[in-house]
Amino acid sequence: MMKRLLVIFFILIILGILPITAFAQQQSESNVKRTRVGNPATTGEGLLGVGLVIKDAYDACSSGDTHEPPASLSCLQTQLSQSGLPQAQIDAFSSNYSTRKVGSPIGRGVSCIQCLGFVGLVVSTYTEADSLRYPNPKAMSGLGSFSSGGKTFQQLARGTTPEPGDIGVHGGGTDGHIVIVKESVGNVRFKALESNGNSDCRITDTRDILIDQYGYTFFREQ
Amino acid sequence: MDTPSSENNSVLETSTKVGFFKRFLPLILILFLLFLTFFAIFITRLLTNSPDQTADEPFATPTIIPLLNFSITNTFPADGDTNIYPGEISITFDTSVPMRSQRDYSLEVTPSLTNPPALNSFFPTQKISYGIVGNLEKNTTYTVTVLNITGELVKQWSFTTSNETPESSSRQAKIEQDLAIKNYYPLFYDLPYETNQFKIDYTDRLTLEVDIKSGTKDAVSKMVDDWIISKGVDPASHTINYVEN
Repeated sequence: MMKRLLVIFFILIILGILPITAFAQQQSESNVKRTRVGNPATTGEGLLGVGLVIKDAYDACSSGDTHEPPASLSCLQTQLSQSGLPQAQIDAFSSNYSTRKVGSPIGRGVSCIQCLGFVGLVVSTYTEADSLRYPNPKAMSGLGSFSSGGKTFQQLARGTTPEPGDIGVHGGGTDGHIVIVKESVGNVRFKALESNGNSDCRITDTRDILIDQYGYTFFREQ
Repeated sequence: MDTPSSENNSVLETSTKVGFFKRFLPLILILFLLFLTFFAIFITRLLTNSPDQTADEPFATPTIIPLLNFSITNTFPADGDTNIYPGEISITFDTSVPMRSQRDYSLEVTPSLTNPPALNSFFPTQKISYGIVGNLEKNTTYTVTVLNITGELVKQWSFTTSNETPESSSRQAKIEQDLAIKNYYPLFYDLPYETNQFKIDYTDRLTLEVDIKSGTKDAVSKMVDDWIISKGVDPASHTINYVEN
């Protein structure tokens, strides 16, 4: 009798352990984490702070999608207000919002805010002025500086390590691309706040962007 | 009614069964454990989707039968669409059967594009997408034609671009970055990297800087080379500058 009980006990243990072992293998593989090292700069106030508030508003209203719908000005205004953004900046955002929507690369039938539209909207909100009315980012890459609402952004010498809040302009392609630097990581990369980054017409801040010899030029607020 | 004799027989049968069970118990246990082992291996592979199941197994080379009869069910832009953004867009279409590769069909766009369509799909698929990195003409009607492998028409549709001025080449910037990473920064997504002995990062195209934290330069150099090789890159393809602190 005792032997039978031992056999049954042994079998029950095996039945219990084997599936757990199988799951453990799966879990251990899925739990592998890659550790990145570097010196991520802190995110501060100023242009980047305003940009992050606007990104959070889009995340809350439309999961980062800048098409309208799903985004809507009323929802964004509510979110910006709840975040504590001054009313003058919310007004600047509102008065620039509609005119920043241009086309839809993915053919949604409604327009969206692309890279220049997004950075323009952030600069307009921050400086409380209509700004960055250039035809495309490429047109900005040759500028020595530009101004908005009494604030001046100066182009940095090539090779300068970008800092949070700098504006990065890529002159490639027909029209170029534009971002707001979120953090520098290592020597040749940064992360940025941008639209059209990870996907069309969506505001994201996670992509690794290469600082190559002829890639980005940067503008910094003076 | 049982007699003493039948009671004895019953006791004898029971003891015979017990004896049989005891005799074959080890065999039964071994068979059961074997079953459990194979069951566990099966479950483990199922859960972890082991690459051994799909790779490195010898398969007979299949006979490729040309896909002649397929249709296209949905397109973007749709036939007759107007006001299509003349910047970076995608041309997509769904097929009635999975396409196995680009050899199963051909795609033409007229008037011809300055930037040729770049395939974004992975085969096999029934949803095919091409990215166009801008430079479409404003107010222009474009015709898309899909032919099968023998050149027979499968579908043709047209769309007309809007009068908008495109304002970004974000996809093109990403393509340029991907190309630069492939050619000049093959370790981009693995760096910066740091151990107790060294810290390594790019400083320029195909140029790495190694900060030696502990150990001799020769020992660290060996570790760095091994790490680079482990990423599938030849260390000789890079200039590696060592900085001793």
